[in-house]
Amino acid sequence: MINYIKAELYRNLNRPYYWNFVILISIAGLLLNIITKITAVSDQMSLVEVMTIGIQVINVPIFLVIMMIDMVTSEENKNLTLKNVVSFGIPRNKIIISKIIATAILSIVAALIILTIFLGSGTILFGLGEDFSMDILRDFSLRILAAIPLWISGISVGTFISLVFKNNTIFSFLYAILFTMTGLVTQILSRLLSEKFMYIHKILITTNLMSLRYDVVGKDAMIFAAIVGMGYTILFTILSILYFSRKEVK
Amino acid sequence: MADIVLKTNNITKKYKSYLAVDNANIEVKPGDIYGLVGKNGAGKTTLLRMISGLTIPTSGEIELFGETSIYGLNRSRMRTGCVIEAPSFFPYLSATKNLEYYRIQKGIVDKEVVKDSLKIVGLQDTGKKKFKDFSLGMKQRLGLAFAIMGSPDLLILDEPINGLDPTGIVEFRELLLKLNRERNITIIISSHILGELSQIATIYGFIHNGKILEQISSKELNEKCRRYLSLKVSDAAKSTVIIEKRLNTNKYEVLNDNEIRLYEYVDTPEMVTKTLINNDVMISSINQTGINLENYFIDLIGGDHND
Repeated sequence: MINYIKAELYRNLNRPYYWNFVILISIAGLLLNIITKITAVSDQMSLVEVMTIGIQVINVPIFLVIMMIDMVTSEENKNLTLKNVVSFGIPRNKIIISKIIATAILSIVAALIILTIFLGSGTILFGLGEDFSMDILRDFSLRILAAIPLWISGISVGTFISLVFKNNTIFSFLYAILFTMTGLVTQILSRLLSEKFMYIHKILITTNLMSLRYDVVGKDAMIFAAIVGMGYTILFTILSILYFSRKEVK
Repeated sequence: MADIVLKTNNITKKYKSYLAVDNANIEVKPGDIYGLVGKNGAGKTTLLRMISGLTIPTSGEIELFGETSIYGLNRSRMRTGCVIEAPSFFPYLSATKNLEYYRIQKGIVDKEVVKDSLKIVGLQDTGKKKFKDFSLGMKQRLGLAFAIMGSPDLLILDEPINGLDPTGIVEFRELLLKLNRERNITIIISSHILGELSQIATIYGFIHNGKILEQISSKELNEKCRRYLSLKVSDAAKSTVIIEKRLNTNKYEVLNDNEIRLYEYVDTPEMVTKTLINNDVMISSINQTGINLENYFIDLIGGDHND
């Protein structure tokens, strides 16, 4: 399994596509800071405000991981290269777990670079600010840490969808619909049909990501978010393994 | 070394109501070059896909290097190299990078193995050329390079000569023979072109409508397909003396006092007739008999000849 993960990292870290994506998003963050700096708003800006902006877009990575899933999993469907792996005798369950881990590692590397550039440029351009304290940094870090299992759960959900729907367009479309509409649908159903739909709403990935954006987020909410993330990861990894175990590999 | 590399026991694959492979039994011994022969749609690829783990059998058992369990088969497959249908690689990577990816995945420590494999198949000079820009022949070669990387004990090749030009086919054939001879690699190769397989296979499996009709060694097949003149003569003993002295051959077989099979002069029966008559041997009949490989196969599957 380690070899498989190493191979996936070798393949994807060596491609311009991955680095173009990371650079593009990093530039977007950098540009945001630069544009803020040169406008009148910059007087109120500091690293604390930059971190607040970062927290406000904490749900965006759940959509950005589509690119990673595409690189690691969908491409193998498209290029019919999975047969090379399966025929070599790597157990199918290990293939799935390795794909999710590799996608997560690539996403985390990208996130670290993007965050470093975003926060780093913010610090350089605006300074730490008078409000800055270790408590604020800790709070920011804890929210990010609580979000990571949720982002990884998005990867496992997306991996499952990409295994079932080999067509890239359908996969991307379904994934986007799932993460944009499910929250809204459960809310509407809870009003029209039964309040019990709110229980489902509470355990959605997007709901828990949104909860990490509140002004004050307690430790319980962060732990709950992390547990929800882990739960989805385990569930969809198992579903992927079960689906793939008997599948004909083209 | 194990007596059997691969054995299938009544392996079957059914897709809804369609029986793609029907209770197929094959046996491959170490060092064999097993030619799996059948028309398009006969079930060759499906059988090979089941052996290589790409398709789950509906029923039956596969024994690979003595292993039959799922865990054991996965371990055994690590001793194999497969190219099933068209070779598939990442189009945006070069030959070297594609193989390097699989080298890491297979856990092969020796980094030189990529270069060596490419050199064996003649792709050592492709440089940064991406796989998507390769010709069909180059793609087939890369598939073989991938399969032989890490010195497998068994190669499974599904119609590997498809799309190769005549020179490519000869080179590919020579390469397989070399691998078999020098590295003792057992090879299973499928094709619908019997003529090509006949130059390398040591054992044949004929498959039709998902069933293995016959498994036969190349020696036995050549014997069955050998052409000869069937002679009915007045005196077989006298005839054989004349055949040896006048026609300078001892490639004959005496069946009884009046019947001889002559394995030479098959295309010049008039010479044989003239020689025997001039030496006072009466000939009641002389027939050219025997079939070529293609016709043998066609007869086996119950088809029509286009003579």
